[in-house]
Amino acid sequence: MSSEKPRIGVFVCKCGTNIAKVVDVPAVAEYAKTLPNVAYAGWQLFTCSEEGQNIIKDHIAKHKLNRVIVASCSPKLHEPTFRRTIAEAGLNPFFFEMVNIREQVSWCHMKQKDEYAHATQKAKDLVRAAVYRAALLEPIGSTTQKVPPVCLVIGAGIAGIQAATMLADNGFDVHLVERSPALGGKAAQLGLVFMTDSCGVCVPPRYGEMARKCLSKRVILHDPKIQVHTQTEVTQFEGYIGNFQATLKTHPRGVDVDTCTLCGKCVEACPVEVPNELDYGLGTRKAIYLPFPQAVPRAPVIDFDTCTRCGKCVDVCPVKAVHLDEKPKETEITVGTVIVATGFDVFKPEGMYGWGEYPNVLTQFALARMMDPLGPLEGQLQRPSDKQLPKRIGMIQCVGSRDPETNPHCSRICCQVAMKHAWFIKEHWPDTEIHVFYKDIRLQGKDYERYYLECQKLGVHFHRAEVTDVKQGANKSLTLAVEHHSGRKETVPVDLLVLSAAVVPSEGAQELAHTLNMEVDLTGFFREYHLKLAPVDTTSDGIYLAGACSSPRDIAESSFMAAAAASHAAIPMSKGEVQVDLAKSIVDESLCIGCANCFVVCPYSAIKMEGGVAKVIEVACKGCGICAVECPAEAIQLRHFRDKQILAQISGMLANVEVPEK
Amino acid sequence: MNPSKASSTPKRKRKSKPKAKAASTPDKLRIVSFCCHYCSYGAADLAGSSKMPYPLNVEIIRVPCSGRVDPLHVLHALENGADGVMVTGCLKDQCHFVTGNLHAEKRMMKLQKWLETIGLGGRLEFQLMSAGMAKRWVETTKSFYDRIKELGPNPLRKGGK
Repeated sequence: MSSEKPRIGVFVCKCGTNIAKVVDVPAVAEYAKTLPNVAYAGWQLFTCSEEGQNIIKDHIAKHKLNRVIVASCSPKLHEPTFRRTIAEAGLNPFFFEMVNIREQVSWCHMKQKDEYAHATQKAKDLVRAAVYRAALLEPIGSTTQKVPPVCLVIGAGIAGIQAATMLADNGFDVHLVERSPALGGKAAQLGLVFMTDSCGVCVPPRYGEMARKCLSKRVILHDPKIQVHTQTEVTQFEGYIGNFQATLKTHPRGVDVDTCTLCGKCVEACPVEVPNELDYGLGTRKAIYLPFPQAVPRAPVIDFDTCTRCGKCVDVCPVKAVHLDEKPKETEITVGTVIVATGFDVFKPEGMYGWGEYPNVLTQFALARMMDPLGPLEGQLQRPSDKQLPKRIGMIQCVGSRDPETNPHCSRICCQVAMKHAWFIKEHWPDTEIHVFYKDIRLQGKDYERYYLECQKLGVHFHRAEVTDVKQGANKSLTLAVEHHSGRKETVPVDLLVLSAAVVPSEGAQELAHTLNMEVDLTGFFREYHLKLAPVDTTSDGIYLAGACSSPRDIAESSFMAAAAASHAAIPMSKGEVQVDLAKSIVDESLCIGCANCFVVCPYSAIKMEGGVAKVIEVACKGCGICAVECPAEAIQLRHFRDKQILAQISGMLANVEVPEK
Repeated sequence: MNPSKASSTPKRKRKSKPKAKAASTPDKLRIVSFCCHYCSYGAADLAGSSKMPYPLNVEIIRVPCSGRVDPLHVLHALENGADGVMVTGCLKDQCHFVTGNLHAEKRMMKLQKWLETIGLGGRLEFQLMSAGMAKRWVETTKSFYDRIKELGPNPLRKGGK
């Protein structure tokens, strides 16, 4: 097939007005007709639509096309779509070339209004480059990769637990990995959560199954399909869909979960007392401690960094469950798919509004811990400085959110949290005066408005204003300098100031992204394959996203995103296999001189030396092409990105540049 | 080809014979940018979807990895009249193909020195960025375009000096 004369079809897309507004699409199509080997060229309104794809198929038949070029959006988006289209029309999917005239022409140059003619010229240059390259494309086949029914879920907050239980319910095996000593993530730290005002540790709820899903009922630990690894991190990771190899490092708990009876004697005996990191400085804990009363797994944990190894806990334990000499252990697992659900962290507003400097300035999460009936203060509302009930409370919104200096994104949950807390305080301590200072109130969805209306009814004061300065007075009370949007300035005295601090990517997310070879976006959150069309997929096949690791999300959203991730991960695992294309390196043994340069540079050990020549292990090869550059004999080439194909593309791109030799 | 020798040779070019007249000076500079599929191509895409403008002269060729870019490809582009060539890849330690960007860096650094010796110094740019760094993509293209504007058209181009 590759020996027959190329007959190229060029389909230029207007993408509604997305491309057509900037690029003269019909002119590009007309121009394409003049290029070598082009048998057909035309334009569509939406090439990716059913109709657009059918037009491609019709023209393949009508004009006997054997190569197809679509000039539209990024190949990261629709290359798989169009490969499928031409495959349905009987062509090898690798006889396809995509030209990106949306992200890389019309969109990026949209604001350069005087240069639209140049943009059209650029689109023509790119199409010409693709035409030159397309003539040299070759057919490439595929192979089958088995996908075992095992999924690795990283992070055991709401999203991770939801995804893990759904997969287990569907019959798949799950490794649920959690970095901290207890399951439940951020939600488990909250006394009550919107919209149901239910206990944070009991989510994710499901009708009639609430008790079954309740973390404090520790069902997950009893599910034979779910293997829970707490205090565990993924230290090494490699492979591809169907064959991911992960190394899990589990830090020692120091307490045997199976024999511990939770009598609490060890905690009582421990002489070391340190601040509890879960409580944002409000409470303390021992070196051996239960992270929070309902923590799962149901056993204390030893913080070996602060433990003095005095041995008192070992002595008092009636069942000999404490082991001070426990060592970290490493487990190697092979899984078919991975779900990343590492959640978020609360932004530390250092240097803002006196946080960290004045004792009576807190974040909303610290306030939530304070008001949690099972938290360090057993649900009492008090000023940290003197343990008195605050009479006037100020809340500042968008702290570290929607701010180009810190985080440009809206953290999405802060308005809800502030409303919930203001409402809860007014319900329980009606004499408290509450002032909320906001930029905009953003309460989307069907049930959040209720909090806003309740708050207004209960007399919470809302000010569209900026707090420009915070000063601490004699009794550690605070004076806020407020500038209203109307321009009016005033000072507002408060006893307690609560900051709605931003939602930021989980600490260590960057590191994990690196380990897993995943992409993060400008805000540092994990990047989804496509924001709208594939929000739980990533650019790595077989790795999916759930929850707040890819954007700030509340519990409900995290929960349904986790369900989506579980169902996506289930697709290849139910099928049991995926097709992997063979766009990999290939050796021309007649040219190979056996220098082993390729063998040395291959990062995947995908090349072996056999009988004096290099051989490629196709399943292991990832198609980077590092070897092809290193080869002095031009014996090893990367299929679909062969030298001659790249050189032709360059020649095509620059064919309208005059050089004397031409 | 020895870089130390290169620095000792006088940089000033001899006046060329007046074959290509300045009248045909190319109006549009052309910059060919090799982008790796996983990072810099994504950064360029993100610049697009964020509607962040950059010089229209930059045209992208997608490669799986910056480690796939052969010095031969760069030379081919310059030989065909590109006024500048960019090779861009993933950040260090973040290459989708583990070491591809390191190989690319080594090769391109060497090539940059060679290009100086043949009077094409400054026309090859090598930059690393992640797929989220649309801003770096825009800044890189802008500053490289400015540099090429200062250098003028590729001397190998008709009308180039």
